[in-house]
Amino acid sequence: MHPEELLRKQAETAPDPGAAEALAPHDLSRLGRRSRRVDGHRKSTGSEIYTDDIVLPGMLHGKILRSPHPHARIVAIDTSDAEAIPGVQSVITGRDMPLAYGIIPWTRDEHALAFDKVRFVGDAVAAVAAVDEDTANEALTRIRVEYEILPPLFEPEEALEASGNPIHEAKKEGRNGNITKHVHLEFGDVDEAMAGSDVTVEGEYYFHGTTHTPIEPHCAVARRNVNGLLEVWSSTQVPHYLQRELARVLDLDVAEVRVVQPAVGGAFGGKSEPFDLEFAVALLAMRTGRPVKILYTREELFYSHRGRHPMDMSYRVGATADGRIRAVDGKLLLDGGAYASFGLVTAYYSGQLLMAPYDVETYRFDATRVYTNKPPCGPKRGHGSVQPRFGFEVSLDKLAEKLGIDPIELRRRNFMGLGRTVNEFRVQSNGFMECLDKVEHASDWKNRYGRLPRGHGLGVAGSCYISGTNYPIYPNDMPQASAQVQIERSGRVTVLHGASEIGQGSDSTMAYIACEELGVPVEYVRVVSADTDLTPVDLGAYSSRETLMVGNAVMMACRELGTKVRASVATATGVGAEQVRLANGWALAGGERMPIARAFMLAEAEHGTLGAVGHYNTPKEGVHGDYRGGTIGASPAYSFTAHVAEVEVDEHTGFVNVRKIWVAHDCGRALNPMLVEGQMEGSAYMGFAEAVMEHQRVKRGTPEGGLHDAPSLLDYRIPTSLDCPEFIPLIVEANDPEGPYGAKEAGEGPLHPSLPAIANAIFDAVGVRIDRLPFTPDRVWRALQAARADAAPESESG
Amino acid sequence: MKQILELRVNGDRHEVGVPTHFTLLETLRYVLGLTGSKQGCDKGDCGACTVIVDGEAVLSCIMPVQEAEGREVRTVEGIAGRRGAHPLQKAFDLTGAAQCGFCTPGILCSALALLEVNPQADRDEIARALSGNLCRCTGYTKIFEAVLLAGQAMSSGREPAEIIGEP
Amino acid sequence: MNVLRPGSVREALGMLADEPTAIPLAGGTDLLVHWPANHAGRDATYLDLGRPGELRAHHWTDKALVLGGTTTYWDVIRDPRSARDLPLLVDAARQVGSVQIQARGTWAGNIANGSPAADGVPVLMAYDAVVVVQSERGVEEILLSEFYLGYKDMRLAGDQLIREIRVPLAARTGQRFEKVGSRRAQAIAKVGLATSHSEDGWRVVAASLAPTVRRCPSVEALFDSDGAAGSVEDVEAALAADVSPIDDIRSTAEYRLRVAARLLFFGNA
Repeated sequence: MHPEELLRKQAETAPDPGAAEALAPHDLSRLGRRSRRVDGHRKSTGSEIYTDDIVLPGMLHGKILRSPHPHARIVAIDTSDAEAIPGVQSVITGRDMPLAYGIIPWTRDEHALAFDKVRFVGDAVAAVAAVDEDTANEALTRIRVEYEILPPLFEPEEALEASGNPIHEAKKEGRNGNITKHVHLEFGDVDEAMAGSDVTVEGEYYFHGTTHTPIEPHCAVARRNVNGLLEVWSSTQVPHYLQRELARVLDLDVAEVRVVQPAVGGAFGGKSEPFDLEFAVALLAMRTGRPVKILYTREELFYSHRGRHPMDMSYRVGATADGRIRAVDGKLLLDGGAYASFGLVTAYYSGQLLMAPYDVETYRFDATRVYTNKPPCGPKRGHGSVQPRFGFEVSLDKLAEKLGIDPIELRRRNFMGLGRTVNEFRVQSNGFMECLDKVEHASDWKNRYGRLPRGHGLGVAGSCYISGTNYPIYPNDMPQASAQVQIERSGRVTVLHGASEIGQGSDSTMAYIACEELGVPVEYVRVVSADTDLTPVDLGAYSSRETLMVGNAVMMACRELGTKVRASVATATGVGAEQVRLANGWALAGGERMPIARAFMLAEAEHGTLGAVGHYNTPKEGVHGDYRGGTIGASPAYSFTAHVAEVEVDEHTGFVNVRKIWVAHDCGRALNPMLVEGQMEGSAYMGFAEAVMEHQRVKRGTPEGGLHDAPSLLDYRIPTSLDCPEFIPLIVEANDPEGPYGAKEAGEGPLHPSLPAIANAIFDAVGVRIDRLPFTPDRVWRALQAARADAAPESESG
Repeated sequence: MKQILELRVNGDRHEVGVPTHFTLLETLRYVLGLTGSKQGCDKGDCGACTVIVDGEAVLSCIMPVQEAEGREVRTVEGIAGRRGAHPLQKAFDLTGAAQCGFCTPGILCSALALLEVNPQADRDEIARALSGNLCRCTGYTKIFEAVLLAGQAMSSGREPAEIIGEP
Repeated sequence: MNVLRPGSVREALGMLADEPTAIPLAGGTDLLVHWPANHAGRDATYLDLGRPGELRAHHWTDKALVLGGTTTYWDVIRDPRSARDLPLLVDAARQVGSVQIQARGTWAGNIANGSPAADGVPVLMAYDAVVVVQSERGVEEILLSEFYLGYKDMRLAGDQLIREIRVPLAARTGQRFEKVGSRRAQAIAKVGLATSHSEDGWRVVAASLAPTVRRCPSVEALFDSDGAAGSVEDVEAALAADVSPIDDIRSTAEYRLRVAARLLFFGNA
């Protein structure tokens, strides 16, 4: 619409310029209101372009050959028969990309295609490019690989004890190569506090392993231009890291590589490191001179995995008679699968992220991550901390039971407020108490907890999560997030930022911030994101960092431009710049108003072409402890969550029907409550699914050992529309000084309490503690049978 | 081996030559360039490929393409009309029912097949109609909200935005 | 890969007589899942039954519902008479996969696929359904409860098609269909049970408890003898004589047997 038409169109709805003076800033703001997504129309019409929708002229199709053995040495690979098939353009193996890579610079232990060894069933061994998928599949059957079979290690305990044939060679002599990372940290004297506690509870907990299961399979397309530029389109959530690793492994300058992230059909942490297919399409495109695409089959996703680590956990918690936590002692064994992935971080997170929102006097954890011959584990939504949170919040429920204190009251008594956690992280905003109040009230807890008929129950749990990490994955002093904003005479605002839109709404969030600062309607904002040729660097969509970090960068750039525009409007209208407001498509100045496009014209005339950059880096002083590992898990801000879950347990079948989950989450300022709710509902959904349904597991024994148990969406059961409880999102806003407008994260924190809240609700329903996940009908039924056998040895009757 | 088929998709007639093993989804995506229908599993488990054939929601990834001959196929690209977005699409947009959006085309087709027969479908009926469409982002909450809103709009003739009082 | 597309049943039978290894495709919701991914696997010939309209239609007689060889689950769900006269068919049809599978999946396909965890077969068997198979050699009628010989092994020769499934109408009580899955849609049964009582006595049919869907004569005898069985242990013992559950990725033998016994007992108590 032409600016003059806009003037007429908006005349009715615009604030009266005179009255605008009296309006508080929030009356002129769209922040905090329900707003549409900037990509909503594309997504509801099928016009959004995902990687697999890209078709380039002359494009070849690639396929990856995967190991059928969980642990074997590659003796020889013969690709000649495959190469001889008409239509096969190139076949590559690990020898073609010998450099190891890894998302964490200190643990580079992967090869794009297996180099000398395969370490799990599904490890990539070779890749082909052919004229079509059928021919590529055919070629895979003609590649002959000679393996020397090695004994596989499937159980983490086995891997800890094994003496010969480690999965990876130890970096230092005498060490066990099967250990990725061991972390031991103690804060205060745990033994003394435990000994001095009035009461202790302990338990062994097990988290079983789950995988992300985005509906979009991983896909990558590569093209090498005649001028040497390698372009890679990929369904990734870390374009920047991918660009760097591609360059390393392919021996190119980083500037010779362009990574573009098209729309991503879900990721949840499962696309947050480079994968074999990205290297394979790149090299195949370089070898053939033609574009190459590889799309994972659904089965390949289950092998590529990088999902949540299985964890054996033991917790001992000591408390005073009135329920104050004096000591927490945790020991964790993380089953990492075949490669390190983010494992170093996972090992730290498994301990470091547990110690809020509670005021804990002393804390110790000992976490060991080991390799096993299984699909590699990595970060999944709520990285590293969902499993310990399960064990710990069930421990608190047991403590409340033992002391006869209401579980919500017990959590209130231990509320930490602001300040320092026991492991010295700085908390500057904390809405956990309000979260507890909200779920308590909404679920009618006081009247219903412990009083529902047998088979029905309520359970509560709390949690805390990070809003971004304080340090980047590779050490550097450059900004962690950045943005560039251009505005021009038509009123159009273009925001270029590196954040990865993976469905969570980061493109929309950046647009809302531009609207807030520059006064344009959202239709005027174009968002260009995650293209390493066009957008400034961002590290990616992980650790819940986009809203806080990239949001701050966009805000900074917009503020610089807003200042210029207001100054120009002030000059033109003769009022002070501080009296000029940009809002809802208007510049309001004293008693005058003008369409925002005219305001931009004034600014463009005065200042020349209008553009600005912004960046954000985390505060480094006083935000974490000064001890080894103290930086890992430190965040600019923390979010808080409480859930109450209501369940119904069918004692005949063991089926746990989760009926409702009340989710109260402190996300700081909710920039768009609709998006925040979507994240809360989606998080609680994912936690619920992990609690009762999903299980990533491989077979044991020969000859099937290492094969995935259920590599399909039929048998790896994610919930359908008929399975989900009703999710009731309750937003709590404890604004944080570090967040843009006070905003913190909402995408991962609200997942954590789902699992323990459901566990605690099962106990309320049937009086049985099940400390091992998942709560499938078989497991719950067995637990009920066992409890019944304990209670009444004689046979049941009807 | 190839076969020549005449297909009707979103009102357009197409004569296509496709391999005999092609599914309807492969034909839509690779031959007709209609990439709105998605491949999430290729085994009939996820529902992202759902299209409407003669008024029924079907999984195009497990429908042999020749079975679509002589039938009316509608895909997500055919939901909007000349006058713009369908109320169902508007409702999805207004309620934030699409996050990553990859399941959305299939869900729109399943929901539309239901609403065209029963615009007053309640939450349970909607849940049942969508039980073959896996969504990994939303927990289905806002999808139910959107389909209920669309049903209201379709049965009342009012705009979805008007019903929820959004500008 | 070759796809034969007969326009009539007669033509289909002719094609099958010529090429008895051709695989009939009726809906394809099972077959397409295993669609081969490379050239070599695509030597097979398929007989697509999508065209003959005579095969799709179902009709009611005085004594029976007659399902065609390509009648879908939705055809039955949509027919208001189904819920009234043969309610288990509707209950089971709604448990099959999802709405999309119900639209394409066929009753005959469910029978011919021979899965021990089938959803449609147990209720048909509990209703004493008769499978009418046809070839150029003639027509044969086989009681569904006698149709299966073993795992995926059935009385259906290469040149034969399932022409019809006849489901007798009768005055029935105790009609129940129970499916225990790990989720409420798109689930393969851990335990499937169909029961029905008529003047011919009890029919108790179990799915996912043996290599085929099968009737449980000992449980039927127990129910026939005393109406309401004495104890859950009695039912479990009888069921154990009838079935042979296994451990697999979806459940355990113990769970299957004991939960099935409880569902039968408490449902019938």
